[in-house]
Amino acid sequence: MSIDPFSPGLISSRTTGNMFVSLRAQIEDLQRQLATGKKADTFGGLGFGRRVALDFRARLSLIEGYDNNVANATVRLSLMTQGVESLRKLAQDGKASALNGFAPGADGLTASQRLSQEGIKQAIDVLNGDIAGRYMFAGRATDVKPVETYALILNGDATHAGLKQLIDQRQQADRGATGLGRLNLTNVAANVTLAEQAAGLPFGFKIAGASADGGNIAATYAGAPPASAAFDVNTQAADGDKVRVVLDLPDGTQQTVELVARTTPSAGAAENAFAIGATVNATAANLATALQAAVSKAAATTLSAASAQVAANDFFAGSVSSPPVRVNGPPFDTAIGTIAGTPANTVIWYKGDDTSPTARATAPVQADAAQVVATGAQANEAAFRVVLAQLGVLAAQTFSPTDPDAQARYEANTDRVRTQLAFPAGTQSIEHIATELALADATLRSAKERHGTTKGVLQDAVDSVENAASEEVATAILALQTRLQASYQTTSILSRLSLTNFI
Amino acid sequence: MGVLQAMQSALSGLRATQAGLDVVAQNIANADSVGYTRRVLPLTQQVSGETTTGVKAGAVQRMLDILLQRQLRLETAGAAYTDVKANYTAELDSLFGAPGSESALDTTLNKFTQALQGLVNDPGSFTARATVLAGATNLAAQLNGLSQQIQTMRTNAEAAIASNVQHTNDLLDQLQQVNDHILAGNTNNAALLDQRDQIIDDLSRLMDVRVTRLDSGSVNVMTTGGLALFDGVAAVNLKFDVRNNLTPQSLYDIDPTKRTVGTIMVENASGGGFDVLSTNLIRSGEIAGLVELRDKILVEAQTQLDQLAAGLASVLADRTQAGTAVVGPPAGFDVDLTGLQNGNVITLDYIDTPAGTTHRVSFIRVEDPSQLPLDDAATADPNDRVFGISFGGGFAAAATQMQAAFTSLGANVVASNPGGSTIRIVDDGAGNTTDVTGLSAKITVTTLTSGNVELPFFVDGGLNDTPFTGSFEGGAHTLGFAQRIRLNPAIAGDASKLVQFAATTLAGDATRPQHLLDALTNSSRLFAPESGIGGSAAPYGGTISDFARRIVETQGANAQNAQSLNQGQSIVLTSLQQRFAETAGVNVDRELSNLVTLQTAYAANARVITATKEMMDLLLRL
Repeated sequence: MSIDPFSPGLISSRTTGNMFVSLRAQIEDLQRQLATGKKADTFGGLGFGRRVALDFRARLSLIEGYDNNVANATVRLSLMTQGVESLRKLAQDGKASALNGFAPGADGLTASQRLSQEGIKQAIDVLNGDIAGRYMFAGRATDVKPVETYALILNGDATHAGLKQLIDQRQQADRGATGLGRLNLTNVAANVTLAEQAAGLPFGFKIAGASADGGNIAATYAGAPPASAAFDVNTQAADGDKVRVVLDLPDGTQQTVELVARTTPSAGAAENAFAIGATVNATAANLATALQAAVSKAAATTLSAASAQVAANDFFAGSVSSPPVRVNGPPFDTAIGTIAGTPANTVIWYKGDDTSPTARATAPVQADAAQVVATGAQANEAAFRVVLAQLGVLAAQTFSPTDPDAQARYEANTDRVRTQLAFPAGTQSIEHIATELALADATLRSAKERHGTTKGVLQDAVDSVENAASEEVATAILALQTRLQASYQTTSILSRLSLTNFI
Repeated sequence: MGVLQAMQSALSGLRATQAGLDVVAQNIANADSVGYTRRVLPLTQQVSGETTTGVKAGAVQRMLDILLQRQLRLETAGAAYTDVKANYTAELDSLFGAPGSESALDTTLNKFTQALQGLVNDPGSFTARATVLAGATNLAAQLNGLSQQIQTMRTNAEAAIASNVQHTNDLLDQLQQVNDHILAGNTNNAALLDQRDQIIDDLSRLMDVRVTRLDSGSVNVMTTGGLALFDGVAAVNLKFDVRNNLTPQSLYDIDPTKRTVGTIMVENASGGGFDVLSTNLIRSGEIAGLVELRDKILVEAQTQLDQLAAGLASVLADRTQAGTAVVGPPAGFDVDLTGLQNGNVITLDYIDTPAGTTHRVSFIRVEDPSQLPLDDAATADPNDRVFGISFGGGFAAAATQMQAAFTSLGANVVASNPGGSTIRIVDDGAGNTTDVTGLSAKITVTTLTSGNVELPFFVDGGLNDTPFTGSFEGGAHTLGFAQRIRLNPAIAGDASKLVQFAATTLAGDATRPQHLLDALTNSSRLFAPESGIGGSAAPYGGTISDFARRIVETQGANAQNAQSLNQGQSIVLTSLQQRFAETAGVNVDRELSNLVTLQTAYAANARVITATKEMMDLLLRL
């Protein structure tokens, strides 16, 4: 109302008029409440409950935000879990098919190898998976497709070395120019010495021990770098005397080369036996020849497989900020050290985030005020790398049916692949990742459930402040209507009661 | 006593009843007239010598309760005051939107927060980034709009004051004229007296007037605050220098050189005048209500928005530069002030030993000497002493200024510049009367990819989109910032800056979005007590979103309070009006019954004359 001048004579009718206006206004407000369901259309009209309404609305909005996060994250997590599951299956299939016998086709590839090639392609697709443009396995580099193409990874291009090339270079470096796995074999009189080429050489066999049975041949192991194993045929060897050299391979495996002295060596097992000659010197010469053959064979098979393992592991350990380690060459067969590759000369298979301390922490999801659930994953996590490297080892090599060592070499490879794909204790396995993601998913779901309850309580409180109960409003309208009608009637009767009408 | 005497008496009775009829007719005709008070005609016997010779009509009297009239005028002023306040605060309240609606300020802020939550969850997402930008733009636009509307309301209040002052002058002129008529003629002329009362009643709606009747029949009108409006002879002339388009910078000040809104001046004969508002001479009525709205309530609302806008900009852009301890003696702290902007605050804590009294000193970078010295209220912290320091002359010169501040405080601490942009503050060493316990600075980050997660998210649209630093150059930039705040156009143009805080930041790195979210919802800060939220000794401390909600709440509560005050006041006014009307109002029924009485009296008097005539005839026929 506004303050306007009044005439004292009209005060009663004016008061009545004002009363009608205010009753009408009340009814109109109640009508609005009935139509909108809201008690008031400003915060002023809410009364003291406005604080509850404001604060709870803010909390509701926050919880809604968390819920949206959880909803997005659970979709992403279920896709990621599917991807990880398929990688686990790839690892399992790879392991199983590595048991198959050696039966290469004309192109030097066995069925298992073909399977491995397809496996890598599939793994790359999984790891390059995205959801609405967000790459799930790229850590925080969500806008970068984390894994290069299969062709580039395996074959490289004109300027970039791929996996095949790196395995080949490593194999050359490990095997050495003489094919003895970077060992030197010398035979002087009755002495046969197998020694590492140089101290600290990162390639080839490492001599870890030497022994001899029978007492005729003395084995001396000198550990001081370069390590060496010396055999002295002091007295003529007897049939069945054995000499042994223990060799460490670059991938951490060990191989023992054992030779038996035979008076009449049987054919076909030449590399495992040496003939007892006429003199100790002749026996020593025979021992040297047999050792040469045995070590050469080991270098061509197990060492080659170990080289492939090391090269593949190194290759897949590479990322943008730490490029892969490769053999410093050419020449590779006489290389004396490794060097970090550069993005200019080596394929960097992983382009994603590689600076986060943990892969999981790259995608934190705020599920509640204090609860942050780590849902990130990176294609270069150890378990994923194992799958890629092991499948890569098989996919990148060829085994010619005409190569006499091919089968042994193949089996040395598949042995290692099987071991690695079983995820030895102490290494991250695919299951670890799957478990962590499933755990994150479960945490998010329970947070969502909790939010549902909280939201209900908060919404109720807000509603009780902001919403008008339609029953109450209807009753109030009815009561007002009755009052207004009664007032109208009384006023109309009173207005007719004037002395004027009776004079 | 003869027959003729009876005739004379009857004739006087006829005259008196005719006069009475006249008054009744006036009353009935003016029953609805504003300012008309019921009149009565007192009849007295006409005495001649020792005998009653008839009846005589006295002077027409106004039925008026003077005390009630005075009270009614004061309450009219009070009602006009609460009414204008209730109207404006209701409008202010409605600016903040309907509860839960899309247009409510809290909804906008909630949506922005939610957008940031989404961005933290998926920093690389184009949609999430666009949503944050839209949320920020909306928030800034809403603050701009609210501020604009508040200033429009202030401009309206200013215009209303102007027209009310004009109206006051008109009323005072009329008062002077009517009063002159009264003095010149019959001081008991009911019509003129009613007119004069009516003018004063109108005046009482505008301001709280107190009327004193003078013996001469004139009146003296002044406000309860003591402003003389009419001294019984001449009325004063009020002047109001109205300003158009008020801005947040338009503020009232007692000092006329600093005042940028209109004020009410009383002109005196010599052409000079004095400022009525400076001494609070008008305390109630519509004018006082409008002045309070213009200078206090709406200014406070603007301050609230400014504090919100400034807090919003600072909390996202300011990084805390912690001090590094200097092993003594004398022990203290170094703080690296690289990038210190105008308005940035360096905070020093020290204690007196062994008393243990804690002291806080805030140094604010101010390069504009006209703003110095700074008031302690320049920071929201109630417990600090504030000094403006110029860094324009280098850090060594700044240290000298700090030292001067310490001297003025009597603080035994030493400021120095050990090199570069470092300031070192140490205790008095061997004297051991003080210990420096903390030194830190809040430094505004002004570039987007500085390697700091902080960024100038919101900028000052009124200053070429420069980052907001809380600067005091040419006046506090916080004042009216709500009207100028806007999303940094560099971010609007390149949403990747929401995530990328250094050259190598990955697209999915949630560090910066997380900072933005935490700054809004978790990081607590103090808000200046001028906002009217929290007291000056304990200013409101909370997060930005808390503060925004408190603003809406405060305005809602203000509107509700003003509303209920106004309702109470109007009930008081109505009941007073009713009581006043009981005496002064014309009741037609009463007048009509008077009319019947008069008619009967007239007939009776006429019958007396007829009887007298018959008696005379009888005599003459003898």
